[in-house]
Amino acid sequence: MDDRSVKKLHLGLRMTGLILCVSVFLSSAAIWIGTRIFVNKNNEAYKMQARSVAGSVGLIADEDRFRDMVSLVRNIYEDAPSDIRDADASMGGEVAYSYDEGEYPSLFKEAQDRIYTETINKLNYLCEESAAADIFIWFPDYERHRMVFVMFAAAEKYQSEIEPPGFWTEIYEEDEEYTLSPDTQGYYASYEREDEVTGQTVTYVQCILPLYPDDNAVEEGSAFVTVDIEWKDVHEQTLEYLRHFLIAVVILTLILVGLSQLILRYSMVGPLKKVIAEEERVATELSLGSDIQKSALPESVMCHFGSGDRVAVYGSMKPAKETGGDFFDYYLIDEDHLVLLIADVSDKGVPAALFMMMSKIFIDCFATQHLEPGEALMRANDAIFARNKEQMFVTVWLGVLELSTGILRAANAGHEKPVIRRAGGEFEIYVDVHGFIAGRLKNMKYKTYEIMLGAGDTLFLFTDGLTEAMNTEENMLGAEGMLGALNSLPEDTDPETVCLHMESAVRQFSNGAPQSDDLTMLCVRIEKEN
Amino acid sequence: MGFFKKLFEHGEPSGESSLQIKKDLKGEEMYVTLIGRMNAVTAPELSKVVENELGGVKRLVLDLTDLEYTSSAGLRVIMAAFEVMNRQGNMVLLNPCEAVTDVLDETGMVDFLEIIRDR
Repeated sequence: MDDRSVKKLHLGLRMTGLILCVSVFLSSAAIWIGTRIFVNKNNEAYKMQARSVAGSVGLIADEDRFRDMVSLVRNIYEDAPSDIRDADASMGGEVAYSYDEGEYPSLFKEAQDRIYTETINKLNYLCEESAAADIFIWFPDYERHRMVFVMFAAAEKYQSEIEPPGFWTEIYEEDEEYTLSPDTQGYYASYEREDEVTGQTVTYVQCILPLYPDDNAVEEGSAFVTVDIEWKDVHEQTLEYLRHFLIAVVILTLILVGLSQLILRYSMVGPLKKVIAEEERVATELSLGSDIQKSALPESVMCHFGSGDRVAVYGSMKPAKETGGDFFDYYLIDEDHLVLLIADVSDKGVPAALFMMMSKIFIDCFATQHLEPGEALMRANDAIFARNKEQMFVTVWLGVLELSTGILRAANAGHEKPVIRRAGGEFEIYVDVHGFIAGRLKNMKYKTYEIMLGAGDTLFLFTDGLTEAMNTEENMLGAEGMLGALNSLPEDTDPETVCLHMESAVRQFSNGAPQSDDLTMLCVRIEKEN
Repeated sequence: MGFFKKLFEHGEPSGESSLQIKKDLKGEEMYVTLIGRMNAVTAPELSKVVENELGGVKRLVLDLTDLEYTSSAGLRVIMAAFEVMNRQGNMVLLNPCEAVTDVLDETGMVDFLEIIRDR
């Protein structure tokens, strides 16, 4: 897997991760809010239901009948033996059974007449029909902090909860029942209790209302109705709601992830792939172009010429980009004449490479005609000039070495001056006769000059990529730097070693700064006497 | 974003190698001051001036006092300016530093260009 597909994968993964995060966050929020609304609405609905049940209890029997029943129970309760009535109610459970079990309840037999039983039956029926768990009518005993039951009805399922008349449960002053008045819209509570049979937690909504609208808690003879409604299946319903919601969220998230991947593929990866393909095509072409250009130059291998291989030649070209504008060459035009050529086009990259190929062909064309180097350069200049709309130029140093005599005849079209080390001496810049750069002006004249090279002499040619190599501080190596590096070599160093040494000297000097220009060198050494 | 990185790698080492060009047109004489370094990246800026703004200029002075260095790309633009001015007037290079003079000398451009030193 290459770098780009890793990037693509990361992008897709990141997108999916983002969508997942967002959907988890949104669904948590939605579940929270939804549950709150759901619970609140349910609570509201159950409250309303409890209230309407409580409100309708008073309609089941005649008001006077109710009042009679309530006052009858109250009278029996108040006339009951004080050791029972005043018993400590806090012992064990809500209702205190601190009396003889048969005796106290039997006191209320008198109150449980036909009408009482009928009313209880009606209330039981109302419980069943209205889905209320239980309905009970009670009066408060403020002195002893009690609510005393008058009638207790319950749905069939809750019959075990029923309390007989005259039984009581505690209430306290801080309880709201205590201050319940006709102005109160009712007292509501919701509480949880463990179901004795199933052991599950059940939520109840409770509503307490005065039995008759004019009753007041603190008044004598007032009675109240309490209705408990179980939150039927409310947990089940909530869970089901959450289940549906979660399924919807999961499906939506999957759709979103799929969509985002599609969008990514079509709107980003597709075009990106095209760009990458285009980039790769260009890179392939550049590398092909680079290979073609390289094949137009000699390979970087040391070659020997002349009788007894007395002349050693080595050259190298390192472009700053894939293709460069520098070139060099050396070749025999007859048994005794070796053409030496180094040049630099005024640009880099593809334009320079194209211009370089054209220039090289023209120069080679005239160099192989056994012309004086100056004459060859003059003709090449005119030829290049005629086909140079882009106003580029090329600097050329062209020499012809007579292998048998060591006579070098050369001409220079605006190129760097050659460097020569005489046997036993140091590398020095040879101030030659300079002509104008090639390709820019017509009819330029280039003078041919002559240098005698003897055994042990070294000729070093280069392009400005060497002297103008820059380090990270933007300082240039310069001619002094170059000569210093050259002169650090022992005298009998062969051309290949000279060039490789200079390449490493440039690397060392640049100190990691990118190569800004093509670097080309050509080195010739007369190794022995003829 | 390896793609963009690659794009940048193709460019020149940017860093501080910048070129500042100040132009001053007085009638038919244009005075252009070059400050900094002229290379393949910065030379096109001068190239734009040469291509677009030399119409009607009879004399072009290129003040090279503060030009530290010029690569062959810079020379190419100077030659282009020279050719334009050769047709419609003349061009002068003012106070090129040693490094620039060396390059002008090396390339033989010294023989064609008018160079003035006033300091």
